[in-house]
Amino acid sequence: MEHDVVVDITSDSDLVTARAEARALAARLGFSRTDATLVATAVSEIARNIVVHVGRGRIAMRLVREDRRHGLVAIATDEGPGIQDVEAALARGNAARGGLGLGLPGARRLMDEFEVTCGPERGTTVTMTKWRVLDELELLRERRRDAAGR
Amino acid sequence: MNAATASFQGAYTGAFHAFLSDDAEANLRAAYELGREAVGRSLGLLELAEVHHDALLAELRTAAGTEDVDRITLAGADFMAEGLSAYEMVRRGFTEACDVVDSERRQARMLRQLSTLLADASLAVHAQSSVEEVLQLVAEQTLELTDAPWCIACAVSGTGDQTLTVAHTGAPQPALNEVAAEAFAAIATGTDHTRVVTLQTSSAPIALGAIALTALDGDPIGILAAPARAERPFSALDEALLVHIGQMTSAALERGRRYRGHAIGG
Repeated sequence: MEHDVVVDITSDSDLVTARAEARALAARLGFSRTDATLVATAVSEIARNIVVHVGRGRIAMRLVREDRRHGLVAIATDEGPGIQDVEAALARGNAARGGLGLGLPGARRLMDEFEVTCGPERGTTVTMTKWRVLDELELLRERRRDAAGR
Repeated sequence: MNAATASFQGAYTGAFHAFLSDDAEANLRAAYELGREAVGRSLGLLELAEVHHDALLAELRTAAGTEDVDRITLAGADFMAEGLSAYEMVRRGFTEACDVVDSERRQARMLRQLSTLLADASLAVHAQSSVEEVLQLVAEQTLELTDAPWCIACAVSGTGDQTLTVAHTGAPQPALNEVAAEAFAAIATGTDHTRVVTLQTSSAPIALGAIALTALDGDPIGILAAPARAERPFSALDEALLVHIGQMTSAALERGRRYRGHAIGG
């Protein structure tokens, strides 16, 4: 893992920082503008959840480079009361707000991997990843770089 | 245009103008917030497109030259993409919901069909051929519901002989009799009557989703088993379907057994 970025989320204005960091990391990994927008949106949704439901938390973002793909992992943590029914929250989101599928379910649908875990008494961790599969030319370049580095 | 849309358009035009003056993340975020607001207000995608094009046109009219036109147009694409990201979440949710509804409708229809057939009194006759008919029907329906490559529906007669019916797609499976016997031994004799088991047959190990068919007193009277496809492991839904079909089959077989017992007893 590399390029860890941590953004403290304590107010609505921190969404801007989180979005900007997510977009910059996505650009560094070579994501398309569309995918970078989707990543920024997903990060916005989980940051907003922290602000609205808990008040404070943090989002750590890092890059992951595997053999055939590169990924951006965002991990949002808070010390709030947790989510009583994670499955329902992921399926419908906040029904009181119309259940339009924004928030957690919206973020889940924009990312490739998404997991929510709650602590035994308090705290929620959302881990989500967006992958970019490398094309053959990129793989060739990576192999050459590795060979040159040896 | 109604008052709510006009108010939205005013906010959108102002936010786009601010973004053109300074393309900082804070001004791009405004587009994302407006997109969320549009979704919340049930503003249609076509209405959002109209609002965006009006805002874009207003800015292009003030362009100083070709380079400025390019700058405004590219910025417009970025701004609109942010607004559309909220719609993208909803669209993906809609697609997901449609898939779930389609799948549930299909399953409900098939289970209703299977339930009706298994409840048919004509199957509860004392001829052995009716048991085979039930098993064949169950195997075929299981194939269709789970998309498994083949299926085993097997009932054990009172004397311990196996009445075996096998339905399959593609090439016939020569080892199905062997698999049926092993699967029955693995599932029916254990305490957990529903599980995925891996059988070591003479040719190769096979992972099977299997459920024991049971009498009212819980005694195993057969099995229903199907392998997962190589490219797709058994899902929770597949397992739930297998359990549901197995329970209906158990009820049908048990009814037939009792009917036969009653008929023989006179």
